[in-house]
Amino acid sequence: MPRVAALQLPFTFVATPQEFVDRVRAPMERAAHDGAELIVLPNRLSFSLLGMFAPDAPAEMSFVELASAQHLDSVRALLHSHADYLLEFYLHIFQSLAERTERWLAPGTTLELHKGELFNTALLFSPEGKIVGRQRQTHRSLEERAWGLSAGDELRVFTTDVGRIGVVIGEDLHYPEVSRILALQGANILVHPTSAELFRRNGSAGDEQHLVDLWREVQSNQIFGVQANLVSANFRGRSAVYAPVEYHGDNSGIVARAETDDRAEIISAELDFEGLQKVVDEYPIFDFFNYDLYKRFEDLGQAL
Amino acid sequence: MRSLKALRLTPPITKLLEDKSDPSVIERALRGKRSPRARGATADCITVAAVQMELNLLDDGAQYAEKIYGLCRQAVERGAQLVAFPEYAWTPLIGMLPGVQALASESKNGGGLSGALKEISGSASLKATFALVARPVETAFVAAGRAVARELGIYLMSGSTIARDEAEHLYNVAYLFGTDGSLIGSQKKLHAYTTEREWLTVGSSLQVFELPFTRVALPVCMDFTYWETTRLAWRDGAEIFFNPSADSAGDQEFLAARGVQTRVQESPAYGLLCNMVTDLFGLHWRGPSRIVEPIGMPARGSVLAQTASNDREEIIVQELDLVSLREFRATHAPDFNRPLYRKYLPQAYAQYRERAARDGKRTVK
Repeated sequence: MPRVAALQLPFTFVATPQEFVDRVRAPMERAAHDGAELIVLPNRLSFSLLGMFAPDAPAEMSFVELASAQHLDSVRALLHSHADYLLEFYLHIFQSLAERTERWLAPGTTLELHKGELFNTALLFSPEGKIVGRQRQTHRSLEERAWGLSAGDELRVFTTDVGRIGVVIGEDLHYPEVSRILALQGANILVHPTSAELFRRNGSAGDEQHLVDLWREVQSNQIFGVQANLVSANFRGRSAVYAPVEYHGDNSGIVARAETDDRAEIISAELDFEGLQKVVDEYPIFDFFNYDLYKRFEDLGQAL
Repeated sequence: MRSLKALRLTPPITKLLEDKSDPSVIERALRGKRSPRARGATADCITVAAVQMELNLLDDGAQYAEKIYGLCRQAVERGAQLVAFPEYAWTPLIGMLPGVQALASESKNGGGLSGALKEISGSASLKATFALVARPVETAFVAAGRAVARELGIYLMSGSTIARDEAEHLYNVAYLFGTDGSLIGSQKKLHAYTTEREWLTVGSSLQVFELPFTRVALPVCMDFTYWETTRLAWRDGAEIFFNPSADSAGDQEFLAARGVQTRVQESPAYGLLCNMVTDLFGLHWRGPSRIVEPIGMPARGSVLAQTASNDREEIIVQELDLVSLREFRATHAPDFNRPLYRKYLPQAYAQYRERAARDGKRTVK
């Protein structure tokens, strides 16, 4: 049974790439040492590298303040200006760390400037440090739209030694279309790098985070889910490994979950695919799809 | 216990069921009531009630109308303008069958509702048994719904009943009545539960019904396991999802949360989860029933109201602020990726369907 790990990591700007590496390497090595074959990091974690373009600025400022510190008039300008550098550092750092730890690595997202369009993109690395998957975020939050991010137009499943992985990035989680397409394509693990703002107002996710995070998509599609949360003043959430509720005796669907929603943690769990298959065999919800009804989705592109 | 042979659904029994479900008798049962009248709803808010209903076997349609009336009257006295009932709300009408009450309390009966009905009918096929009772049950169910809605001046989602069409197909259908007792519409269940596979034909269309103050949809129980259902209803403007349910896992937090409580997070709307509760026939249908909303709406959390028990008849009443819901929807306007759905969704369903047909089952290993 393969073991997977999610790293719940804090977000602050770093002054140098080395500072960033120092922050992520230790928990990655610990997860690898504990047997994780796949390691998942949070959404936008690499954006902390933007701090190196204003090394004297405080580490905990906002994107707006960082733009201002660099005499740029908007976050949009900040992200567009540094996207290429950010991608370069992200590739270099995580290729090296995947190779060093010899683990499958889904290190959250980076910025990707492609033909003038800016994307929030997650890459998947093999234990040899090779890029084996690229997934652009396909839906944007209000803030991300204001930042000038574009939406990706592809969804793909990547076959690894651990499982068939679909990547659901940040805001994509709120569109069940994404997870469904990936599950129909054959994914048996959803990887969800996230930086969730939803509970900022209340200060805590409380007992209902599962209703609005990856748990929901895991239940809808009866596959595993690995969620890694970014935590900071603005982002909170408990990273988790999820399964269908019938998978475990406690009927919660929570295989492992972080103790806190605001501090760095490593969580990990083994994935029993035989157990997952048993759940699907006994309660095969995909057998009851109403294809006639779903024909209405054929016109959704125009009418939604 | 009476001889089972004597209880079989022979033609005289069929005639008896017709008599017990006679709409004119059901209408008369509610005459002479000094009923309160529900206040008219406004475009801004409506007070709704979710009924958690106990399966008590009743002798005939008139008793059924009295039961529905009693529950709705309590709701109206607490301010409700719209009242909703559970899935399988028709099951008290099983009591119309002679001898079934004795069978229901037989402690040795572990075969559930289907086992009991098979035993009574002498048929190995639950479908055949349901086909025999469906017509009188639906007649009584609809007559009671009409009469109660008109008597109290309420909108009534009377839960779901078994129904049979001319081609002998059996459906699980939820009904919605207007304040004058008129039938606003009905919704066939769109996704079968595993135990319904033997007899249920699912519907193929999802309706959204326009009321003067809002739009509502009434998919049935298992339909809420599929986000597609509520996405389509939401797209057609539904602001309230009725979730009639009969669920043996209703009292298990995470199992039960896979219904309307999660669906309103994806497709923002109010949700009314109404559970049937019973221990008869070896069934263990459980609540709690709930009225829910999207997290992030003014109230903290997703649960606006919840029954105190999971195994008793109860009514919860809640005012729904439609203005707040509309504001929430406006400030959380989705960023749909139309080209992505066009490119993948129909093709993904089609390819999966082909693969499942070829392989015989879904493989997630």
